[in-house]
Amino acid sequence: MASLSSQNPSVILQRILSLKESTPFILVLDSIGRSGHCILDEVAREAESSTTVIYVSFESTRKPDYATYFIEGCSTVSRLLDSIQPFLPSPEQSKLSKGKYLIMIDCINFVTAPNTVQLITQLVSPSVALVAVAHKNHPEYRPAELENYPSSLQLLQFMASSILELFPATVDDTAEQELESQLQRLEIPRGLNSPTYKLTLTNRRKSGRALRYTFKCDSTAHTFTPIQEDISQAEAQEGTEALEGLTTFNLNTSNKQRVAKEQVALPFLEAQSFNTGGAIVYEFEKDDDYDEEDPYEDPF
Amino acid sequence: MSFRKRGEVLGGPGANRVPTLGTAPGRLPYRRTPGADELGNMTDRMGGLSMREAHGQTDSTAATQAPQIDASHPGVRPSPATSQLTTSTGCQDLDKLLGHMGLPLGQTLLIQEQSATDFSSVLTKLFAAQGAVHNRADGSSAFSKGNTHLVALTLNQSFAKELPGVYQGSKKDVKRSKVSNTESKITVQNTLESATSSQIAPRDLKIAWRYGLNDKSKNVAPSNSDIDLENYPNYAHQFDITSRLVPAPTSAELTLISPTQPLPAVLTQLQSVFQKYPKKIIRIVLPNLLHPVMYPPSYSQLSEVISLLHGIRSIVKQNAERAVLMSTISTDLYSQTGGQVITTVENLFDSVIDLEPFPQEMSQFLSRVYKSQPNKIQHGLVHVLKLPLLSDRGEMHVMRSEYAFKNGKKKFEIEPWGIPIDDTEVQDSKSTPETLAEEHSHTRVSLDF
Amino acid sequence: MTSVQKQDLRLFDDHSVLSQSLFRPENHHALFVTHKLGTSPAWLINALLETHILGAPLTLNESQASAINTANRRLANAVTRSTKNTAIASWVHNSEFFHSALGKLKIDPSRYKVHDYLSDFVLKYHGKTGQKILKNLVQELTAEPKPDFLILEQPELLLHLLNISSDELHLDFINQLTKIIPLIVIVSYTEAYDNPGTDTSERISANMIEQIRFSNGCVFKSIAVLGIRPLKTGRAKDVTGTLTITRGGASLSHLPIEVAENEYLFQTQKDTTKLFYR
Repeated sequence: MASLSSQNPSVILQRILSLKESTPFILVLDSIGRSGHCILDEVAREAESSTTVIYVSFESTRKPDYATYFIEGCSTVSRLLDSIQPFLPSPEQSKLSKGKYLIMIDCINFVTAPNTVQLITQLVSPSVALVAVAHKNHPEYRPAELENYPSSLQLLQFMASSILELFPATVDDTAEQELESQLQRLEIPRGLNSPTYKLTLTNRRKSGRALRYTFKCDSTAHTFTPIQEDISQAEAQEGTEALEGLTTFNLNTSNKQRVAKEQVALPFLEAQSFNTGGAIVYEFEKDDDYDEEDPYEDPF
Repeated sequence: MSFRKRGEVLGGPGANRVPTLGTAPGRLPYRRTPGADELGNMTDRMGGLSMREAHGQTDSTAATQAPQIDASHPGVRPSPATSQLTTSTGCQDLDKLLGHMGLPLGQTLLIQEQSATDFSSVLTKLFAAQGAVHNRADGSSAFSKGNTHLVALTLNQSFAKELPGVYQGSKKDVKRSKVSNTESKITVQNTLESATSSQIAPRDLKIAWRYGLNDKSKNVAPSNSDIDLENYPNYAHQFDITSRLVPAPTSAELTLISPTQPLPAVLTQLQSVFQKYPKKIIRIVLPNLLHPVMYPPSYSQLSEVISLLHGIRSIVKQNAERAVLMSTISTDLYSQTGGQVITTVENLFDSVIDLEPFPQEMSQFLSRVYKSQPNKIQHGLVHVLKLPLLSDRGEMHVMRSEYAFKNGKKKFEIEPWGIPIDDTEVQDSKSTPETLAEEHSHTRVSLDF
Repeated sequence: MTSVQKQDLRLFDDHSVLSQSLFRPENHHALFVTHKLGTSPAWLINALLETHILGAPLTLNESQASAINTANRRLANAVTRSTKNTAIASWVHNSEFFHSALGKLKIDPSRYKVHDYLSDFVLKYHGKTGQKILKNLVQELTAEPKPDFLILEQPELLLHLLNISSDELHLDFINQLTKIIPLIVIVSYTEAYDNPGTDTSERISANMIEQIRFSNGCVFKSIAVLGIRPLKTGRAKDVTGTLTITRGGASLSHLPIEVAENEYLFQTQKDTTKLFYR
């Protein structure tokens, strides 16, 4: 654990983008606020020049300059596989040639959930890496008989070895909410799809552990600056540990104490149970210093 | 005074026409509405108009004013906003609201209604009746030739018989002599009515139709200062929704198309109407669009309803110089799908008006405030979503809660909306629990709107 | 507000509406125009058509008379531009609508092509297989002379008219067009769009799913999104709405231009639209 955490997040991201990390299937999650095409560009830029790039286009209107082959997407998986496979190396070839093969799918949402598994398993192999863009907030039609089957987005996230999730750069939470409500009605404000954006990397290690880092990216300068994990979040996870050894006395609560603490009815809860609405209840006690002359001190 | 008013009411559609109408079974008998005594107070903007003029005067007016009216169609005038030819919807306040003094030819109008009330059907009936009256405005040959044809996409076979007749009430602007003349006739008739109603029948018909036809000189009303009215005397009429249009439009005037047929059949039938009447204005009515009784469940699919509306829109636009369309839809039935159906339907119309009838509390509040003036009570809000031509070229005309409507016997009125001040609140210094509750409901309601 | 400074429409940072670099060979791009209830995009469509035919959005910010003058001058020496093929396909308006709008500038109907997919579309295609029709439409739209600029007005209606899914519409129609035509503008009515996001357990109706997928797809595909909507505060006498120009999902890094993000206020009155800043 120590060795992994000490690793520079930027280095991991760089290795993933340049396909050096063993992540056969990279999923890019985007939204209309920040499209994932910039990640495809980054991958193509990082990739070695010997890499064969097979670009499967469902959305792109033009062939990207880096694409070796440009394949038109179609909705039936068998046809799609038929059109891709001729460009892929046969098992013997892949042993011989050193060049890597990279398949890019610019919008995998066109593939329905039941077909997703078939497509990915058939494409990915040790010498072939797959980068696919999937749009969030892109609902799909689900027939009644597949109601319990995971959605294609769930499937993709489950199968992906690395997930790169893109967000438009926002100033704060309120701006984010505002943006969300605007996009809900397809009212697109300025500043989206800009070269600077936020990226969350989820990298699944062979050990089964998943690493999560957030970056601030700039696609013109090709820089990825890690953003420090939210401290409050970290603290919430290990709250008890943080209090350990902090003082000479014990700050921790035992289980029994915690239960008791939770059972304390806080005053505002009590107030809500009044049927009459707000009322000030005052009971005179013998210690109270009650001045009859003072008009401001009338508690009734 | 009250005697005179009584006479007018009796002389109106009820007494005058019911007996004459053996040809139209299933008519509603004339009911006297509680507000009928207010007839004299009405704000009669189009006061100069009457059944008489509508049916009788046309020969002369059409002749004298033919140069001003394109194709001498009595129901057409240029829009003051875009000078596009426009026809009346049969409701003058709606005409005004649309910004063109009517619905421009080639345009479509959707009236939405938010609750299970049926105010919008009044508007479709007015729209259809106005077309029938235009058609008859050209005189006796109207039934054979005519200038307007109605098309209704409905299962209701008696649609024609439910159309309201032209309002025949008091005419302030018409010469006094004429008024007294009418009155005297009514009084005579009044006395005779109980005795020999069958005998009166042909005479009444005479009063309504033939007398009017020959009485041109008498009916020209030069005293009327309303230029619009002078230039376009038969453009818009006032209807009495308690009466019936007599005689009811026949198949020569009205084509009914059943919405339950397969979609292509509906469209080809609609197209054939345009081919059959090549020189007429075609007024298409789609009452109660997507009404579950009339439309099969498959129409709730967007693919069906959009195809239908797209097809109809295409026909209207192809015949833009002589087609208008009005449709109504109850939005409550289709609001559960996140408004997708309604919004998509709206999109295919050039203009959209939304009626939001007041909830119970609001109606109660209004009837309390207008205790002494019951004719002022509004029935709901009017929201404008799109206006014909103007919205299409990019102008913003969404006006929510700026207007209110009230439906009366002789008028469907739309007026600027403002929450009235409750005088009782001011006067009652004692705040009894009752007024407190009312006050509460008032503030709540006013917040809502 | 009468003294406000009028602003020129520009979409790209080379001060152009439709940058010349977009028409470089082997380049294919899309623009996405969204509009909402109350703000019809007719003026923007006209402005884009004018830009492509005459080189500038003449009717914007100008009185009609002066726009006609400029148009005449430009039309006179626009021989060099005659290589351009402009086309528009609409599912809500017939050709008359565009002829009358562009006719005001005396632009000859032969200088652009209108594909009228309103008239008789249902009678012609109702009940037939969507795939074939889409193929037909693509053929019609890309027939010689191939347009280099195509505006699609409300192609989303095809979802319902042909009863197809948004994916089919994207793959078999819009992608096929973008493959051939250098610049496509998709104009779409997004009033009904309401995307609660994936986090919510809210069940989204099938129609809404298609609408969201279609609109989102267009955003990702486009280099720029031009959103027109009314003011949040409702109707105002001197402002009709806002036009927001934003980057879309597709990157422009291969070209020397960038989208000039901007938010204009505009006022449409009669036949003129004025742009200005807040």
